[in-house]
Amino acid sequence: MPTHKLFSSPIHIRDFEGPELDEIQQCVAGALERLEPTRDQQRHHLTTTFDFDGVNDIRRSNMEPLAWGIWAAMKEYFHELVLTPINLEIGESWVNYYNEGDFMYDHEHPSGVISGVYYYAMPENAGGDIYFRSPNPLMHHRVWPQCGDPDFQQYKVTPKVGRLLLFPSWLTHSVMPVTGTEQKISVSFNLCPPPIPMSGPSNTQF
Amino acid sequence: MTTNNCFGTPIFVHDLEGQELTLVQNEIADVVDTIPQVATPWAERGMTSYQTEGCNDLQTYKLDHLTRAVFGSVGMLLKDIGYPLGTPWNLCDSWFNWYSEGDFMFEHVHPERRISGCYYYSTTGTDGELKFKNPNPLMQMKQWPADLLRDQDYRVEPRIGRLVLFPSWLAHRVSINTTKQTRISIAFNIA
Repeated sequence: MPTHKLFSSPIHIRDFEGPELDEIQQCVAGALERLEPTRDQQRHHLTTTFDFDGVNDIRRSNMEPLAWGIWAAMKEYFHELVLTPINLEIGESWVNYYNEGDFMYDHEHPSGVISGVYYYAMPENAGGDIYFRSPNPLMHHRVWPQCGDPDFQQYKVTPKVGRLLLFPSWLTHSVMPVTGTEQKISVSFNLCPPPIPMSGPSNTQF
Repeated sequence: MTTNNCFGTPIFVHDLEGQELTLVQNEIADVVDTIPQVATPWAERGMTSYQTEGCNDLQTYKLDHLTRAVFGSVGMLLKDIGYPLGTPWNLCDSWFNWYSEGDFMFEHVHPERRISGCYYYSTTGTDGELKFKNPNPLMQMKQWPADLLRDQDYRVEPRIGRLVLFPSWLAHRVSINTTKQTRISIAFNIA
């Protein structure tokens, strides 16, 4: 095939099954009992444990099986993209609770390199699809090339229990409103480089 | 495969061979020395037959074999990317470019067109690459996934008989020719 699809945005989808899924679900269920989410009406429209102080629920609440699942998916992600692995750690992680009508506006994750989400509780046919936006502004007012995809300006992933997504942190995405009365719960995370050791003056104030 | 490479930019590279290559090269050889050259109307260095009021050298000089090769390639490109066939496409502009030692072209796009491309008639293969720029501004201050994006550029080496097609909105530039040979290529736009 002489056509190369270049400069693309890789989105990885992994569906956990069997004992691996059971173990992850159990650890998230245990963690949820200890977490205290708050309502976020200013930035988005949902209930969350996110804060700007570097929240890390996966570490704080010992969600080890989920952490291992993320590493397995990341390994697969790098392998499929034929990329050189880089040193990343789960730098931030938080839980999102969507009730009827809740949604999330377009956003990116500036502090991460790779971001992702794990779907813990996801009623079927209840909305909450995640939409990734084309990052190419040159295509915003173009209809060519659509690359065979009628939705060429956006890429939709329908959530399901046990599904884990990985994507570049710079890729804009949003969550559609949830319908129905059952609560939808997901765990989001940012994979970040380890902190750089300071070799110069420290505690410098500006 | 569970990784979906979304929002890709299609770049088509096809090398003509055999009888088709011979026919295309011969018909260009018959006319290339008769085509008037002017300095490029842009800021960079090089000679061209391009005219801002419009020019279509493939039609003017009856380069029918090359025209057929171009449209054959467009068909392959559309099939590769799953674009619906049956849409009418027209050759809007086409012009020759001569790049001698020290000549190059700055980054540019081809406005108001859909598919742009070039055909390499005469080249040593080392007299100036075609470089496409990553159209994703969100990647400009990021390092991941740098391997995949080949450091923000995709490079195509010139080669006799090579035909390249790309979206007209995709920014590209031509590296400086550091050789003593003059590279001759034919650029075109389709809409």
